[in-house]
Amino acid sequence: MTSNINLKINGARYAFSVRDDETLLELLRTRVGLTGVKKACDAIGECGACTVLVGGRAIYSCLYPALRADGAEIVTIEGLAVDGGLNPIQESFLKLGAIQCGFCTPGMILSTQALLEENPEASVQDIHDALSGNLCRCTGYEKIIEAIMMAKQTYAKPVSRRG
Amino acid sequence: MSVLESIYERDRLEVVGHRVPRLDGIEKVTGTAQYTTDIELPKMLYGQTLKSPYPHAVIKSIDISQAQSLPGVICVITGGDIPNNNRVMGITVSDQSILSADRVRFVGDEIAAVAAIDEKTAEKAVSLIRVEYQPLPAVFSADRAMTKDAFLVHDFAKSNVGSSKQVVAQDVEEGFSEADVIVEDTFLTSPIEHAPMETEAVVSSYDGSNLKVWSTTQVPYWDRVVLSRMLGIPQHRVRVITPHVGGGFGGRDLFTLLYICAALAWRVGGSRPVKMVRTREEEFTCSTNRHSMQIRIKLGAKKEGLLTAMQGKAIIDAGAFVGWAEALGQAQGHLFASRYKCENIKWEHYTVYTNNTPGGPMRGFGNGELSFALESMMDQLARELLIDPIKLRRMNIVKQGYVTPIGWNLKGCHLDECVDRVAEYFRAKRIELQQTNANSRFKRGIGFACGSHWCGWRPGYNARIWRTGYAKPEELYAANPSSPYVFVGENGKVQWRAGFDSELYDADPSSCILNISDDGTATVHIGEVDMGQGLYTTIAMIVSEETGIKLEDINVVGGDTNSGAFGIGTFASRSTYIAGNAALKAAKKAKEILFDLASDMLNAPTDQLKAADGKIFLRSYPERSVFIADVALRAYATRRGGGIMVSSFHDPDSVLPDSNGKGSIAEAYLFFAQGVEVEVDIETGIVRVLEVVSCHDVGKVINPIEAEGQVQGSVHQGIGHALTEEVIRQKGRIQNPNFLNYVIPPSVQMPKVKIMFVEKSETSGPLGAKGIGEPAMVGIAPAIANAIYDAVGIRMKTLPMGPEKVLAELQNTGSHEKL
Repeated sequence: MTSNINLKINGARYAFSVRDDETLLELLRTRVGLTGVKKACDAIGECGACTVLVGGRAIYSCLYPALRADGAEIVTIEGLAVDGGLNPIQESFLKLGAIQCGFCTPGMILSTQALLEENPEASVQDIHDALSGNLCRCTGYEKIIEAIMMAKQTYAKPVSRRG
Repeated sequence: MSVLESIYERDRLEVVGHRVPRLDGIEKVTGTAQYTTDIELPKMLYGQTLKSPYPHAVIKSIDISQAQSLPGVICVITGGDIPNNNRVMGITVSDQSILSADRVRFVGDEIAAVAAIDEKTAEKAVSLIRVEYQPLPAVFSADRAMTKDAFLVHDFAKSNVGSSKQVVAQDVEEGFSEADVIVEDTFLTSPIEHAPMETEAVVSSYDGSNLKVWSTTQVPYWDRVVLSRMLGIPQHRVRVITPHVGGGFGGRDLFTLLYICAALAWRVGGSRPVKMVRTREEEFTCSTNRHSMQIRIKLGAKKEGLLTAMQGKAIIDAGAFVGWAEALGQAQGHLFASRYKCENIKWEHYTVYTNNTPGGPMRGFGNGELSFALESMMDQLARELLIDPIKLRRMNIVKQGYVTPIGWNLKGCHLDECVDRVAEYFRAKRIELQQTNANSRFKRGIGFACGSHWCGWRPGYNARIWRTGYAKPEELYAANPSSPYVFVGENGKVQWRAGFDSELYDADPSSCILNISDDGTATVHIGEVDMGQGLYTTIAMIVSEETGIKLEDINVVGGDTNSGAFGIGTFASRSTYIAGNAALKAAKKAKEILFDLASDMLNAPTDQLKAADGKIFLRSYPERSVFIADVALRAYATRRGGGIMVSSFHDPDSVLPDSNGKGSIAEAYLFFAQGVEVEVDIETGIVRVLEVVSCHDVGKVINPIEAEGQVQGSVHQGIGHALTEEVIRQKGRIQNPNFLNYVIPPSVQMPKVKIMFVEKSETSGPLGAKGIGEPAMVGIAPAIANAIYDAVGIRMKTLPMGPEKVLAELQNTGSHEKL
């Protein structure tokens, strides 16, 4: 079975005919070519590398049926940069060295984006909770937490920076 | 340059020592970084393999006909289709095929590979391959495998002990007879998984004469040698490329998927790329895990605390193939003999075949396991002697200038300072804890560990195996009578050809090719790979520091064998130190050319020039300067220019182990001390790590951001090894090949990590640097074990130290009731 869906990905409109069992991950990586959406487990929601924003909410795209995204606005790591510059989270990850191999980075940044949009006053515990579904094998998380605390300062300001 | 001037130069480092964000960071935060997993090419095919469901079985027949006739299947191969199938893998012994043809030795052993137009078709085709197995008795523990009646995993071996060696210095028995106190115990470690976030991925194509491979490898040049040998394609027709790599940790030091995919692409031909990506489950079950081992340690000491004898024995479960296990056992002998001053040493190791997943190298290469045993025993010794564990270590540790019984020449060693700084950090807290523990369910304790590691490693591979796959000429001749490497002499004896006479690979080299373009920007080729540790940024910083070319004007290209900059690979904490030295050498040559040209332009002798921030200027009068871009243009656009293309080769001044296994295998060594504070819940057995202090003698830190990152990541993996991570096998079958059941510590379990660097410049290092890739993982498990003892008085001897084991131990000893 296939169905027709319309969606907005990183600001651009798309129409697809999708299979019922097609995941959003598959659609984004193989049909839209957004390879910044990663996969580090067997698409069973264990690693968080495939995290994207659907309507501003961070979700595992490997478990999310593409069909369900009909009409939604989707942001992947490729769509996060603002006006040609880096988003504050991207900038703090870069500056503080919260990146090593970089494979978990897109998911980490998007989980953070969802968190800080919702709760600009997020505590360290809130950050741990928000990242509990995102695995990193390189950094030991410390610089990631630091980078998020740094980025948080930008979000605390009243101006919304939704990408 | 005078000593004073050299100090002056060093104090004024413009780039090195500064916190430089990694040069590939923007690609990584914006999602544009391309990993092998992301490569999609026109007319691409997708590969999949058939794996053994049995831990041990004879393959009676393989029928690929149904798979071959499935629409969309382009190629199916089995072991017989790969020219040198049996002589490709193997560091010390050639016991492993790329595709197993007549026998499988572990669950996940790969038998056949399929290339098809999409992944689903490839999977379907694999399910259509019919294999007739005859199951054989299997053995799943090293202890059992070593018994006389155990079924042999390999027929060629007389027993399941793949290798056994011992290293002896002085007289260990006499040492024990002099001892006032002797302690002895056995420790067990579990297999763990490297678990880099990107699973193994390979893309390969073959156009009839050129083989191309993109992959997640750590050793592209080594792979090129192996591919050349496997397919009989000369090295200049083999190109291995490493795009961004999503982590390695030792798991990509030679991995079979790379060769399987290349063999498939070679059979497919027609420049048709074949892509293979491991699932996470396959990453656990088909590729290597860290070895599990059993280590027995016996220490003897005088009552004042000085060690009189050290004896150790490791039994390493190699799994189905020896792989790196023999080298690892030797390496442990070196580590065992090189952290405490003791002349009477005996180390023996046994690598044992079992029908478990093959073991492979992982961060620390045996040092984590050895340290768990040895550092736990040092604490035990301290308890017996009633000496403070730090004081005991402090009086026994190796010092600068010492040559260890196994031959390590410790030219730069600041282990004493590492130990002192860690001790000082926890001094007040240790006193405080003695009072706070009494009536709480949560007992806190502090534990320590210290040690040494290498910075590069000269192990002495067999150069003939390296080139031909065979150690003996008659074996090569039997397999391939037309091999150009052997001939039959007049006496009828098969011999190596004249000139092919290096038995040992006596080198640990890296090289660098540095080109400065006519706009003053530089391209730096190295052989090693940045798998996430920030190596390319480090190399760029070294080149920038030396040449004055701005960081943003330097592009480091690593791990592309077509660049020609040979490097033996990224492992053994060697890249910054050895590839960094190669880069520095090349940078010095390039700078010489720049200065020569600039000297004309500035009308000043070269020894009065300095380069920084994109300019060359007079030391005494920096305002008089020229842009490097303008100097570089002269190199190309004028008659006397001659271009700026230089190369370098660096092989450290290390020594191959002699026939007794002794030698200074590295030119520089790394030293560390670590301390850990834990909290043990005596009701549940849960151990929480509250704080870690990690102090490292690393030489000059090139980029503090990345050096800290290595320590933090290593500590994280160390905590996993110590407390939560274990590949669980039942009759050789892995029970938890996923992140739900294989638990990598989540962010919330990460303690604060206090990092300290003892930055004493290493004279043999590039701008004073050594390395930091591995040692911070090494001391964590023993420090935690010692902290648990400190908290609740139980001695944990098995990794991981999960709550059920801690609780059982608490109940066994009844010690928590005493508290």
